[in-house]
Amino acid sequence: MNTKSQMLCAWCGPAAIVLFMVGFWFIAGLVPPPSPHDTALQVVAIYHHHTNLKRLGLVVVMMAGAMTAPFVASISTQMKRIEGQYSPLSYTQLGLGMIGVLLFIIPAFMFEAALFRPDRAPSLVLALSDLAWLPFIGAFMPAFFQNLAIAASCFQDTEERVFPRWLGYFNVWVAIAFVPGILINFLHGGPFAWNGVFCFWLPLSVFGVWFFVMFWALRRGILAQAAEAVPAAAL
Amino acid sequence: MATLEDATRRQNGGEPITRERVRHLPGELGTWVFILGDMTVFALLFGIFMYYRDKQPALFAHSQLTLHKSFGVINTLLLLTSSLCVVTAVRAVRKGAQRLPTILLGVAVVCGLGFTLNKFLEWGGLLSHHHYPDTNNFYMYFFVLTGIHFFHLLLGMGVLTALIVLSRKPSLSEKEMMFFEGGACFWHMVDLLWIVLFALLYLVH
Amino acid sequence: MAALPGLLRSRITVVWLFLIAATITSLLLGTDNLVSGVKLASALVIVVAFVKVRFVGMYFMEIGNAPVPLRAIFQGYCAVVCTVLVVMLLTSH
Repeated sequence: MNTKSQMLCAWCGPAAIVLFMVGFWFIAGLVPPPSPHDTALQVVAIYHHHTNLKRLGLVVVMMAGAMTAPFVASISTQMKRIEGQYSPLSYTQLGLGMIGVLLFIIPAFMFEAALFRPDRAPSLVLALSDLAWLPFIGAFMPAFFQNLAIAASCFQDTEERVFPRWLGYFNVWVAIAFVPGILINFLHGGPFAWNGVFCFWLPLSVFGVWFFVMFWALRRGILAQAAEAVPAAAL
Repeated sequence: MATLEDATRRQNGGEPITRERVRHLPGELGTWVFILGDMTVFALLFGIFMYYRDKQPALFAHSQLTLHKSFGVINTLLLLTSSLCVVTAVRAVRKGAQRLPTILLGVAVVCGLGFTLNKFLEWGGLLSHHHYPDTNNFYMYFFVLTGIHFFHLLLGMGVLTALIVLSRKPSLSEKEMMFFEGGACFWHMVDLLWIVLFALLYLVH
Repeated sequence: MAALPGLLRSRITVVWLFLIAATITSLLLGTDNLVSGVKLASALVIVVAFVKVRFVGMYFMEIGNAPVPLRAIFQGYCAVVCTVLVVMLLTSH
């Protein structure tokens, strides 16, 4: 029974979130994000400020992103207990969750490119900066279907052997809460811009809460799996 | 069934009164995780709107005049009527009615289609008068808030369709009844959110 | 269909009629000078809206017959959100 490795992978989730916040917020200082309204010169000034700390913080962000992989894997492992051998939902969650890793890493490298030669033409720095922020905040589409896949499997788990039913509803709510992210592509300021209360702060909070709720559910499921195995082992 | 109980049932719209009030959670726990969560997100939207309204009061007041309140009123009446149909359908299913729930849900869907038509007429009218979502902040909030609500309405129409399919079954299991009630509550939420949007966008000045 | 008249002759339909009336009232508050003071009229519009919200929740969603925690959360939501919006309105320009 590999509940130990499952538990280890599950713990990677909260650890990843903490690491992400340390890297993105405390080291790189990129929270709150610069405004889409900022001119090229203003953006250049931001990237000239504590450049090395920003470069370092973003590397930490990338490690945190990669660390979500085992967490995603442990979710699918538990989902497979519900689905059985033929498990499209588990594979969907796994695939989309792994794509999510790249959605940390690629934008972070766009930032690194902007930071790499801060004396580039300001319009180039602005372009690289936009290339980083738009997908970083706005690429919710894989997560949307990832959450729906988890929800679907929760609703399949009629005896609540693995996940509680309400977790399905929770995942549907999280998926819908990400949808307003569409708006960041249209607006340069206000609550629906990439630094706005509705399209940055709300999804960031929801994202963080999701990690901790899923971790709680995973832990419960893994412990239940271990308990199920005990009578069989005793035979 | 004793006559007295029948009379009590009729008086109280079908819910029998016992000495201790038997409470019942509509749907299930998860239903309310979702609905209350969504209501909270909308509460945030309402607050955001009022906050930014105060930053440009003259602009908002002036732009609001281009809205036709009749669109808003018709939409409110359509949703209230559809909600009446839905809650009556739920109660009819509990009583074991066969065709009535399906008909009532059908009427609710028609109301939803009416809302959709009304919405496109209204949006079309605004756009043809060159009031676009990026014209100014009022229109941005108007289109975004009504747009997010409309997205929920479309989800709700999907849910109502699922309920229509369910309602055609001769009897519902406990789980199916839970889903039926939960789906109905989602539709009522769509109604409830519109009530506030109508007040804030059209009437508050 | 025979069940329809019985079902409609109930508290729910009365609630619906009240909600229709409240909608018309809000419309009047929002347009005509029913109440002196634009801000007061608008504040009343918000209050009426949340009274309607409460009725939709308690009677249509059947929260009125639900366990106490849900009733408390829902009514708390109505009270808090209504108050915050009214305060934001009254303290606005």
